[in-house]
Amino acid sequence: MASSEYTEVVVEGRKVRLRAPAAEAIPAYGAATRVVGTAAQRVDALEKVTGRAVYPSDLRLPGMVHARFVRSARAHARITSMDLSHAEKVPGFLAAIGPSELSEKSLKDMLGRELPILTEEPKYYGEEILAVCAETDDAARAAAREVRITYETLPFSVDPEERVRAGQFVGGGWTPTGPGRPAVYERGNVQKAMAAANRIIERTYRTAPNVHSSIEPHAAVASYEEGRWTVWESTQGVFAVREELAAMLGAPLLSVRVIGTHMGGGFGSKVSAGKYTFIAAYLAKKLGRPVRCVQDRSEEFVSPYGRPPSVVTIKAAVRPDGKLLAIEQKGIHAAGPYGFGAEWGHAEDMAAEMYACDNVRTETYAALTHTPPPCAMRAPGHAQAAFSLEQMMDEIAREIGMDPVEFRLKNLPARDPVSGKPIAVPRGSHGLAECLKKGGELFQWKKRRKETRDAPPPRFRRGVGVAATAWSAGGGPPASVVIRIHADGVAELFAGAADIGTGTRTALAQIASEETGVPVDRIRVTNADTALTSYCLPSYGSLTLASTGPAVRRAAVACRRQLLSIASDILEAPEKNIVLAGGRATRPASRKTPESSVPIAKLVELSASREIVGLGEREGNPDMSIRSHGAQFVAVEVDTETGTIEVTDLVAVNDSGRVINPTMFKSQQYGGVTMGLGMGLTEERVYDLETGRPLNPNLTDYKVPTILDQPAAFQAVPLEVPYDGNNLGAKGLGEPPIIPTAAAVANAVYDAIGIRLAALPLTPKRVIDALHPPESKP
Amino acid sequence: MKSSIADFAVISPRTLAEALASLRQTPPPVPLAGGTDIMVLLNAGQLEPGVYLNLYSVPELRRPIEVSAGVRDAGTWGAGGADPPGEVRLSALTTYADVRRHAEVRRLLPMLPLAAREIGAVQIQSRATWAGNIANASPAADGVPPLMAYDATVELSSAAGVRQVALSEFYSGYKQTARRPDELITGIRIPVPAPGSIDYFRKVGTRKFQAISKVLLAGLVELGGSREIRKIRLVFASVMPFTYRARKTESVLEGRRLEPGAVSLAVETLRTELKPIDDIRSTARYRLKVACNLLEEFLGTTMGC
Ligand SMILES: Cc1cc2nc3c(=O)[nH]c(=O)nc-3n(C[C@H](O)[C@H](O)[C@H](O)COP(=O)(O)OP(=O)(O)OC[C@H]3O[C@@H](n4cnc5c(N)ncnc54)[C@H](O)[C@@H]3O)c2cc1C
Repeated sequence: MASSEYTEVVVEGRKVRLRAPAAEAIPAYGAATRVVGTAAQRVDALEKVTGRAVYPSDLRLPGMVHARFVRSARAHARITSMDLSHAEKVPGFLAAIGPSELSEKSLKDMLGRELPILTEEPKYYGEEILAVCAETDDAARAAAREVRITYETLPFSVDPEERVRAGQFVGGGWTPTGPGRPAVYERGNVQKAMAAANRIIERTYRTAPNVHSSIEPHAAVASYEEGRWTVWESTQGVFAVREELAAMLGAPLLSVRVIGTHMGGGFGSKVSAGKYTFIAAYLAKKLGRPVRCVQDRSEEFVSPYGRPPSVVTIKAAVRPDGKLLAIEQKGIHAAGPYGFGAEWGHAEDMAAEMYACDNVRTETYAALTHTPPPCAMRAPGHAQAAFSLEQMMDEIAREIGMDPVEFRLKNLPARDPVSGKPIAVPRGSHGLAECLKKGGELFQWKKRRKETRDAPPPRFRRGVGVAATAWSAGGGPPASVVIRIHADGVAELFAGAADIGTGTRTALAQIASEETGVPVDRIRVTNADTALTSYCLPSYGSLTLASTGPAVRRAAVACRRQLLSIASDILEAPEKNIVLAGGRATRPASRKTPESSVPIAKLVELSASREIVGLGEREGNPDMSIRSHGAQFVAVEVDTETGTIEVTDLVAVNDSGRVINPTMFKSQQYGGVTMGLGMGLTEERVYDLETGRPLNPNLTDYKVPTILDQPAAFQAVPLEVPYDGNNLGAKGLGEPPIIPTAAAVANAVYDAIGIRLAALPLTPKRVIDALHPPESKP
Repeated sequence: MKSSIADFAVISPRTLAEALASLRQTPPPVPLAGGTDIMVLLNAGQLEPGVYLNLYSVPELRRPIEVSAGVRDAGTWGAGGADPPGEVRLSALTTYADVRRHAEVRRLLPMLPLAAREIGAVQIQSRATWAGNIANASPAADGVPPLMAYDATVELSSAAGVRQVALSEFYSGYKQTARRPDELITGIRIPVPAPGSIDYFRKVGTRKFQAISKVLLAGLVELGGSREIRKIRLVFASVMPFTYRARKTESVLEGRRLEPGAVSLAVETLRTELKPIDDIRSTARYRLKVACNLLEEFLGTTMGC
């Protein structure tokens, strides 16, 4: 394995090369594993279904009080007066904090842009103005309602295109530009290539603003005792919250402990400390009592979260034989009024990375709209970008009369087109090629494509579509893990990673069990607690398992060596002949001796330390472009009389290397695709253009799909293309399944009705309007 | 934000007379049945503070579904004489789940279980009442259209007595109903349609279930021997500001033979009769187009019968 040996850092203006710590290589898993790869039951299933698992928003501490926000009722305004006298009279009222008290306090995004915690000049409807605190949640709500605010209304716009026309934008993506300049990526010479080409296709695609809609809203409970905070936070990353909160509080890092063992979903919206986190911690110190600050569902729609809408125009040139010659893309996305979180709307990566194309130019505009600042949402940027790129691929293939699967296969890159690094595809295969081939077979793509093409158009029209994805998902350091095996044979595993519902705790326990022989149900996982576990990154970017998993294996191997050494003495056999499994060390029967075994508990008891401890760290990655690939094939039935689209069949194939637990792997596919169907068919945050108010800040009218909206025939297929970039051979999976879904559905709808629906969501109204254009009689 | 619970009081009368007497106070208490509309308002902070009248404490309002004797004996039908005036009565607290579980109602009034299964999910169906759906007067109510298509009447009781109001006369505008503040809906009476009547129920929503409808049509047609339309009911939800019976289109059809010409005439009439609403759930244009398509489908499939 070719690990990169150095990382370059800058120390006091000097470039320094840091050597990667030398780590003994751990060989990849052999063909047969006992625990890894099995559908082990979730370690916390019982706790969760019986309601014993405590989520931060469930927590009730003695003496705890409640904080609520007062939010702006204008999309853009200056506050002219705030009258708290009525709020203060609400029984149970304790305190109110206003913007002047916190004028220095702000959240920071990944590029250091700031978002004030409270403001006197709200720039989006629902922006936080004040926080009030009271003895009960009801009293806090009542006090919040009783605050009287007068506004001087200022001009606003919730329309990203309008804002770009007005010059109100910054560059999107990871390369910040000054105001009024788009971010530009370029390779080759697009102009020249376009001029020389004779087949050029252009179209503008639009995606809608979406909201994460996690089951648990944003929530924090904070207590302050003897100069230290303990914060229970619904978060994807306890260490990120600790760092950010300590900085905002101006307190030493270790004065903040963050616990996030159970949390009810984040999808990218809980990777950092929130305004609610700060308010809870700040008030806990001020009042000397534990403070709970939890958002209502309606607040989830107006606070700084959500996938920003995008408008992406792609122009592509192709040779008649199917070679992509040039891609030119202009992408606009809403970035809220502050540019805070503008990096999360970027749609440029996919057009640049996905296919081999010598001439690419992308321009990305992050429009300064009066809407809540965006944040990462499951496959940020990519889910939007795939809707444009993967439909464009379909259009091009049709234009030149090529099968869209063939067309994609023809344009797969051997090297990462942006970094120039080889794509980690050992043994001569390409993950995407494998996914497209496997999916095509299972779906019977060629046959069904022909069937729908030949079918006469009845009321219900059928069509099929395909779309693909690539997502950087190698994981990596930092992650370190401790495993302690005790004299009763129970192991404790300490990992910093949050389990955001994906089953991380279970997968880690399986990896530990594989090496140590301690059964999964005798492994207690302690995770996401800054006081008990070691540093790691938040669970985002599909990196959790591929980052922490290899560290667990390393820690488990360290334990294994100690166990085998003792077992070898007791069982009088060489270590290589001993099997650790089922809670015992066993020497199988040989010709001369019968089988003999000893419990792992006994080995621990006899060990010099009376506890076996293993430490494992995540090694570096090979110097390659590491991607998780996927392809989705869908069949739809479009009712031409009501405009409803039914996705009848769907095959999702994902290559993320080694599958640790097939049930949980498929759960990510089912969940991601279902969320993709929501993005594709039903989900849209609607704003009133007159007032800038959200019109559907509730789950009644912001429609997420239910289990009944899943396709009747839905195959989720893990494809294990071998990967040896880490000791598990596993890559990430959380995000890839959502990426191609909306595009695949749109491609199938085109196949069915012959009309390109280029704006999300694909509602019945849009279908009817497309079939019977508005100028015609309804 | 959620309302403060301290602003609300609930009274639980023991008898219907007590309940009706309480409604004479000013302001009158607000009836609380399954609470599936009321609690949503409470959670959204939009519920008026005040006194609520718990209907569950009144035994008279919890009577089981009644099917009148004439109908129960199916054998007396059709033997030549006139159809017996069979009737089904739902009480104030009859839920969607009650109807789904009731074999006779499923047979006699098949649109009711069809509507019931589309409403919310199992928790809502077990709690929510038909009377609450009527009284709540949402233009998107799913329970009301089939009841109206079946010519249901609403039994309104007050301390002054009982009156029956045809459900099709119950609404006069957005959230405007014939119920006086001192009245309770104590029952819903539904005449069993003539044997051989053909019904149609279709809800078009954004997703399969748990979706407020964009357009809904409940239709019922009684055909004569030579396929003339004796009687037809066309009831739309989510199209107009209240549940709407398309009387003009009905009258164009009644007495006419059911044939392609009648269908296009009906669709043309409906196109001018409906003045659809425009809201975030859909547009007027979409609603008009789809309402016409649903009518065409209803009449088209009926022709094929
Ligand atoms: C998650 C969810 C999903 C839903 N899905 C649907 C759906 O798909 N389709 C649909 O149509 N509805 C739906 N609803 C709305 C609601 O469930 C129905 O309108 C239901 O029938 C209301 O009945 P209830 O007994 O709960 O009424 P309540 O909430 O108790 O009362 C509703 C109104 O009727 C009045 N009222 C109730 N009973 C009487 C009476 N006997 N006399 C006089 N006034 C009375 C009350 O004062 C109140 O104004 C849904 C609600 C929720 C929360």
